[in-house]
Amino acid sequence: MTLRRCLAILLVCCLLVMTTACGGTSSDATSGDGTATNTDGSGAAGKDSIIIASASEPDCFFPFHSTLNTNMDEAPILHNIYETLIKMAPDGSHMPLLATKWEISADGKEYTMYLRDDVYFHSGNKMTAEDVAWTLNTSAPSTQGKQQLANFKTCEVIDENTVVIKLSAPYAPFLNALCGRFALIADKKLFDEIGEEAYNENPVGTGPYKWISRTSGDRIILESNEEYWNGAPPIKNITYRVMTDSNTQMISLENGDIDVLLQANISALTKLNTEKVKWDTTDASSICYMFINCTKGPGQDLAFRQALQYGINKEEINIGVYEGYATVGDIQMAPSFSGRPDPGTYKTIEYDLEKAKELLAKSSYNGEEFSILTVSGTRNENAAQVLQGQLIELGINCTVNAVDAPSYTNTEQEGNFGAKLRASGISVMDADGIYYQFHSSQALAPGKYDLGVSSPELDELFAAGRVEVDSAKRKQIYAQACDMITDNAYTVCLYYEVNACAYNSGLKGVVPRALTGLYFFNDWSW
Amino acid sequence: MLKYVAKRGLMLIPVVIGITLFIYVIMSLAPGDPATLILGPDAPYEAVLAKRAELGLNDPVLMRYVKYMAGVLQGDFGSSWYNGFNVLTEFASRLPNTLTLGLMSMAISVVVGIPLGILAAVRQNSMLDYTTLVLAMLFASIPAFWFGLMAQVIFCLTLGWFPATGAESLKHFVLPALTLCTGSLAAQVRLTRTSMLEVIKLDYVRTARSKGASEQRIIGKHVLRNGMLPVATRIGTSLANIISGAIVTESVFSIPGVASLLINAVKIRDVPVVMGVIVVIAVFVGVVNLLVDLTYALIDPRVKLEG
Repeated sequence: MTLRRCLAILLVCCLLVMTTACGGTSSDATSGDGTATNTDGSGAAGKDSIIIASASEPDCFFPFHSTLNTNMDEAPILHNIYETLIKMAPDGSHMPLLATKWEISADGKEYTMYLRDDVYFHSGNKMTAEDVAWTLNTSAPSTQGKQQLANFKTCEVIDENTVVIKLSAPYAPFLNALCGRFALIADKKLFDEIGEEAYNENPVGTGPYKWISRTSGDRIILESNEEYWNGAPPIKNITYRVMTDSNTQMISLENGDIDVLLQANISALTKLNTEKVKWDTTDASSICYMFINCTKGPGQDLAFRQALQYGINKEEINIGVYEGYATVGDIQMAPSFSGRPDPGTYKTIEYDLEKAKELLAKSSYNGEEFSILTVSGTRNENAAQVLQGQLIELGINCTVNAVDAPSYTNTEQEGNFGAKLRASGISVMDADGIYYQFHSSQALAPGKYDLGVSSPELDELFAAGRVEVDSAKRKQIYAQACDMITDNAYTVCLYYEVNACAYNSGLKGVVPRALTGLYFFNDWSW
Repeated sequence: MLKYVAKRGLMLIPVVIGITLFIYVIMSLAPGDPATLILGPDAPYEAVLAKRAELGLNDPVLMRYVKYMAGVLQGDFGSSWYNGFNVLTEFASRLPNTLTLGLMSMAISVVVGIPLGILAAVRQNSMLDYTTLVLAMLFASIPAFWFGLMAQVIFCLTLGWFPATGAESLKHFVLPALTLCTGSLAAQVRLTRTSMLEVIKLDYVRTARSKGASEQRIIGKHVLRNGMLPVATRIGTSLANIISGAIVTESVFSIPGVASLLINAVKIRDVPVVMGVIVVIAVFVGVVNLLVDLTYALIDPRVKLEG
């Protein structure tokens, strides 16, 4: 009996030790974190640290990683660790960054970039023309790089501070592309020493902030680069936290647990009632539109598609999704895009329910199901639901098929939908972005479902817009292309997405930009 | 006894194979091609094909499974398809938070739940009994996300006692642990009460009473030891659920734990991460259950573990 009792106690102890041991490592690990973020405080003026929160977790830190998927979630981190040669101002103009000036050849095929001579990577290596050429020559041919640095041929070193970028054909928005993530300059010497994986785990750039650490699912810690060529940034410590729940975000914002909230939920912000928090919105580079399936189902009939064009009340959708803070869309080019035709130079369609009913009556539609494919749990789904109500009122048997992202892609490829609704961003911030949706080389590529939206005429216009250097002529070309899309009612553009950013009212310099996630933390100060 | 442990240990192997095979096949059968998902919908077809080859997606499911498990046996859980981070390191970095949260919540439900249950049983049909039961029902029916939100509003915003989110110190875990334990606390109270009441009615308790033993001695010495057996089992099984049980709480309080890792991976179909987490959870649950059974046999002399 005593033996059994001893054994019993021993086993219970074992269980306890096992569990507390695990608990023990936790307090070790967290205290380690705690020291790193000791400088945290909340709301007080005169402090030099800041906590930023966002719902999505950045997880790729080498800007042109060869195998990983990249997305906009990483932009706020990447653009503060790394720098591009030129920087895009909030109004879309180009400012010098790592390049002091640039020259474009008359044929638009050669960009000569003059680089700064006083820039060092966080590793201590000097940034040279060699790094720039290697970066561009590696990133531009990659799958995703190709879409932004289009027509890129090669980048050649002229001398230590000069490179010349050669294009196979002019690409009008090339300067915009040079402001993007595929033109963030990395340290070639270090890369050759440690390789891609190690570089991705401890990114090194020339930017105002240095990488300190990352805790998966929780936070990324950055520290100011005191040797930054443009002067040390005012805010020294940055903690970038992942916070998925929008109620939690609001409580933390009000509570002072976080100082800045990126990609904030506008409905939640409108309910905030405190002096301590300010917020601001801007039109994003991402557009929410509905692509109608023109090769299957009721969408094959032009009159039916036109009925959709006239019968959708976009303002109502804007209110339903963004509390009315978004700009209602007319063409698939956000207001901030270069090359976008000026208002009045292209056709628009006003909401007209009577006309829509007429068109529907004229069409061959006979009450069959019209299903809108969208991604569940997103704003797209909210938009689809409002849309469904409107279409049912119009007399269309509309259903919403909201599925998770993987199933969306699958259904999209099989073409099993009447229309698909999903916002998509255009990082190059130019009218050329829709090339990838309409040009037959893209829309009819193997593996893609043919929506029936490309034509030789459109191909010609998009190809012409791409290489046209004269901005007035370019706008004309795009106005013509947009009219062709509107006349054929291939898509219905609903609204331009909104970037919202909420911040502690003591913080200065926070401006949301059109390109989602593009913030320069060294512009901020308390 | 050793033989029993060995036998149970061996039985764990088919269980783990069964669970992982099931999950692996399900993940493979789900619609959506992983290569397209990783590269994005606009990726060129050749890139997608190359990615498929790189991930080995052209092999039959069973072969992929065998390859994967062979890696796991050598300690190689692979790396995430999306961010390339090693699955095991990622898991290990999140495990402490989940364990702290789970253990704290369990501790609260045991320390508060068992005494309340005993009191309710001893004072059956009293005001105290009813109040406890009503409160237990109430807590069991409050959804975790709402409770968590209310706790944040009261204790963080209004009173400022606790931080609303994060996992830096034990203080950060107080509200999440309270939120997580509401359901199990209620169950604990009710289970303790019921099982105590059952034992109180037994003949040997009546014998003890007629012997003239004091009420304190009857409850403390005779009823408690037998009444606690089912409660001990429950504690054991809930220990096994710690790793996987806190999805809502983790998201409301932004705690980077295992549950949120798993749920995100499932959303984007990150097979190596999902599989890695499932394998570890399956083994953990198996081992903990075995330990619980062993402990049970030792605290209840009537239970014999035969090989």
